[in-house]
Amino acid sequence: MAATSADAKKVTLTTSDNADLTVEREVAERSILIKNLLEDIGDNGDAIPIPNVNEAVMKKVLEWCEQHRKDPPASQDDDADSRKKSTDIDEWDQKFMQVDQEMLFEIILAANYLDIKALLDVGCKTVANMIKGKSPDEIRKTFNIQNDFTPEEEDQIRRENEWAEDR
Amino acid sequence: MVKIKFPRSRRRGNDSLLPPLPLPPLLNLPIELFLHIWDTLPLHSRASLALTCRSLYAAYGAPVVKQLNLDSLHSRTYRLYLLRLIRKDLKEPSLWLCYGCMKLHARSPTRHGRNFMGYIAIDAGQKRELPPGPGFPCCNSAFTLARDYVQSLLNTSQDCRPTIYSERCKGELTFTYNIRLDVGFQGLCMSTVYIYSLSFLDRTQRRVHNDYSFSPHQLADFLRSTNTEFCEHLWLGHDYVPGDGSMSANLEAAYTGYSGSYQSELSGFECRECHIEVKFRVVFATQLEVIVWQYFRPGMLEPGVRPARLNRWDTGYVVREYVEGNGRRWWERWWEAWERF
Repeated sequence: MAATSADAKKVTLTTSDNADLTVEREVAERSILIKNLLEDIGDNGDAIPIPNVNEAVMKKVLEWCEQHRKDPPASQDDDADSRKKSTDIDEWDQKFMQVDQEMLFEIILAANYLDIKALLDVGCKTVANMIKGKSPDEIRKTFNIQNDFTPEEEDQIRRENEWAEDR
Repeated sequence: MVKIKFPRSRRRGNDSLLPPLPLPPLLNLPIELFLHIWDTLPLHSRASLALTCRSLYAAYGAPVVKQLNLDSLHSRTYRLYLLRLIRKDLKEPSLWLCYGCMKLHARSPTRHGRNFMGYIAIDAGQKRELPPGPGFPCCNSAFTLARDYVQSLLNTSQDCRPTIYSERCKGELTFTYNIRLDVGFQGLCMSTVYIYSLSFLDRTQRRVHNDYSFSPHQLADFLRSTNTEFCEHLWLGHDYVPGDGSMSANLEAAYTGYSGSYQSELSGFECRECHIEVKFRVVFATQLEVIVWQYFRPGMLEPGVRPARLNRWDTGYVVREYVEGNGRRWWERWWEAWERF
């Protein structure tokens, strides 16, 4: 797809379901993957294929990129444990992540594929907050995990850890 | 001996012929993304997640359990946080969490203190000292003796004489508490006053202003570090998620209207299920009191059969509807205190 001179600073992304999404280059470059691609192939106006992300998820990701377009790029120091330990999430991001679980995990996978560290952090922190403060049974219900322990295995875990005792 | 029954897993017998269920999205994540989430979790939440299914326990259970069983304050505290979570699944009301042994015990309604001048007191003069522990209550404490005594009274429908318990705990935090057991307007009631010296804020390496004016955040953080449990639903600890509606998460909100001045009374919390009201009070800027008022089976005693020894001390703590932040001005609280006086 050729770009006109009026939208020279725009790029077109083709999603896995063959939908073309046109966004400003600055917004798209929140993704390190797209940024590197644009640097490698040059801005010749061709659509950039994103084969692992569908239209609905890509729109959500671009909505986040639009909101955070002015954020400073993540530095190498940000990879430290301190970044991971904090589970504080910006208010806008909290609202943004109020989606169904399927979409939440799709966003995490897309952020990982597109190499958007900040969005990946927000997604993982959202999942972590869904786990925090919950008992094993509550986590099973939240994430639809099947309890496949046999009674013997449960007994063994209890005995090993001495969580309860008769008095 | 009480046999503790755990809920059984849904898996029964040989179900290997059943087709495998699709993996939930959380378990279907690439390993590096799962570890990204895992790294964000505190130790007790990692353990809770590892206990959800066989594959997670096999992959991550052993190192987490090893860390939880280390003999350090950090590990012991997280072990207690995990036990709080596990207790929710057990749904066994006869179990209580001992913060000394770090185990779930079954209640024993047979023990009570010795008779002393018409009162049943537990070494009130001697000030027993409990060994260090990462939280409270623990077994063999005056608190558990009092609670067991209440249970025996409820089981036998006995009348209660005024009973006083007192103890000094010398653990990670040093504090004293006094318990008074009596019959109040709404039946058998227990009032417990925990007294913390605010000078211990120094010991726990927290910033203290020279003029002893503590910020609401400092006091809230101090209270959470006490790791004290009042009932299954109300406890002080760092195992909360902001906005989860728990007592620990709302401690700062309880300080609405707190001026930092002497003898400030702060707003409280109420558990309607266990009929408990908890209030905090700073006394002379050096002492923090946590006042817990609990009724057992309120309304069980008809007015005609209640003992006539109700006094002003009792009337001040009738369980009432709790409004977050209370919303009252200082002069309204002052007027209420004046009327009570």
